[in-house]
Amino acid sequence: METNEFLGAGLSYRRELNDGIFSAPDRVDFLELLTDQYMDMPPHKEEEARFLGTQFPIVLHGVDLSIGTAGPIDKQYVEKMQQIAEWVKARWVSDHLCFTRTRDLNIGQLTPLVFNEEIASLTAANIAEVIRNFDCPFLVENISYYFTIPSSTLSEAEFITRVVRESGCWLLLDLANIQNNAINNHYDPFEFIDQIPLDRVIQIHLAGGYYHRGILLDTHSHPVPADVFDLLRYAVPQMPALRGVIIERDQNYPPFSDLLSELDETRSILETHWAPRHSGQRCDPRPEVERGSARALDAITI
Amino acid sequence: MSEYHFQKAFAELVTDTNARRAFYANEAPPLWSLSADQETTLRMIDRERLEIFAELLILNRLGKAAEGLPWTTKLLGTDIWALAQDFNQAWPPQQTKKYDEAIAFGRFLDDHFRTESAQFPYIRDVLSYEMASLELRFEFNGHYDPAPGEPDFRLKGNPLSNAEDTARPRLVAHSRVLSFDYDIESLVNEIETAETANDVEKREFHILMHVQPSGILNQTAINLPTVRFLQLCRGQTLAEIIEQLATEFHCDTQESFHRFRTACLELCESLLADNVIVLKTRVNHGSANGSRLQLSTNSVPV
Repeated sequence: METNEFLGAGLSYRRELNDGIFSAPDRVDFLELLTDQYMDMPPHKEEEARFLGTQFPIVLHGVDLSIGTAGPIDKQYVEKMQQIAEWVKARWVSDHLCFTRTRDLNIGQLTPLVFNEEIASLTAANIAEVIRNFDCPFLVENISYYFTIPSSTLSEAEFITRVVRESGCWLLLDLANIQNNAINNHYDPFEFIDQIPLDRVIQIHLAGGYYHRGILLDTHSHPVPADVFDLLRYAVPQMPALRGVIIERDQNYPPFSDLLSELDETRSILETHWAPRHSGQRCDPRPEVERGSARALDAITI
Repeated sequence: MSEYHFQKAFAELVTDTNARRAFYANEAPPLWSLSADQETTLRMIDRERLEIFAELLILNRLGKAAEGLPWTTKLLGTDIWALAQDFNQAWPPQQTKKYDEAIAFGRFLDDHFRTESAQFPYIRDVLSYEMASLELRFEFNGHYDPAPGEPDFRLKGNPLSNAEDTARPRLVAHSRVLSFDYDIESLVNEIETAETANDVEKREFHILMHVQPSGILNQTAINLPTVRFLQLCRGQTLAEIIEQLATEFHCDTQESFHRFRTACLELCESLLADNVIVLKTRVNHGSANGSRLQLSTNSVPV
């Protein structure tokens, strides 16, 4: 499976958005399905996934792979991811750079890792093992976090870079998470963007949250803020491997026309700022890879 | 392995209110097996932020439960947050799926209402109704397995009346017979449109819920004799069932017995046509329905 097509601007699929999406299919370029919502579910969910796969290009996004858990990856979970990827002919598959569970507990929330070399190597090894199971690219996403673990010896940007380089994975860059973290943890989001391997970004997430007890939460419940669109304008010219931008909206659903407007704005920024789309240049985003899966890299010849 | 212990301790710290209280009171649970450095690291995490994160985890679980049990959670009103905290403590998070969290919360509430009185006496009916439909929808899971264990009885074109002594009706696996103290259909209609259901009178009410081979969940209001008929569909021959029911419902004369037998045969045929029961040839001592039917206090084990 090759990922050489630019998918455009799409939506994270939610049942509540279904009617809106099918009322304006020409304005939603692709869909992102939540992998976990199709795992171990009644057969109508498989039918739904397969149907959506016939209507739109699909990418898969998971929340519970727990790639940063200090221990072996959950092979059964990966097998289920593979199966769903086959149903929808997923262009790529992603999950988060975090941990969500230990052997006995499922925290149920994306939880930050300790940013140190040991965890980076452990996580990279887990990712490399996951990559070997897919014919399509595997991406990891930066998360929102409301506190850092004090014993970290690397910055988040250094941690991400190390994981990406060691594992050979690609990046799903959530710009809302960068903005949230910058506000909650007091740093400059533009400087952060400058420090991560933008040549490995295939997908971007945009979303909006709200403040709770002085913290900006990653709730996907509000419009994409202007600050986050500013980050998009800033970042996309530096992302030759970029293939799509997804707007995430999980609750507090607005009139669908509002989401279409956000998609239009996203497309407009991509038209103006994402150079490869206009120059017609062929970009080869394959960087040096210290360790990883040749199979996955072969799949992303651009 | 040390990282594993750290993650395990961290996961407990954010999900277990009592463990968190003990940790900050310097009474850390001994099972955590942390090094002195790791313990120091945990203590250095911004406690206020960590508490907010812990609160978000409970909210997250509650949100999933509310999606699966919308009417029950609506009836809980302002009590819901205290109950959610107790639930989180009593049922540590182990699954992230909405269905699993809703079922876990429902079971917690079921236990709770055994000892604590509820503001609305009908909440237990609403809970058992929602739990049954949730369990049936998800337990079905694509595997339509009518009633395993022994060969099906074939009528081979003969009327059912010729097979009374040999055919043994069995309720299919994906069925429930539910008995309520209130008219559950009117009740949920009222709760749907208003905050609570006022002026609800007690009235015995029975429902047959079953998943069709297509995966669609059906429900039908049924009367007491039908309930009893279905409850007896677990190994006896049709003749034995009719005999027992005729005694229960005092069909003492030859004429009343004849009418009753005819009605039973018609009922049996319509249940067969609707895939609610199957006919078997032998007694199967293993229950086709198992303990799943005994989850809710008001459901009648069949």
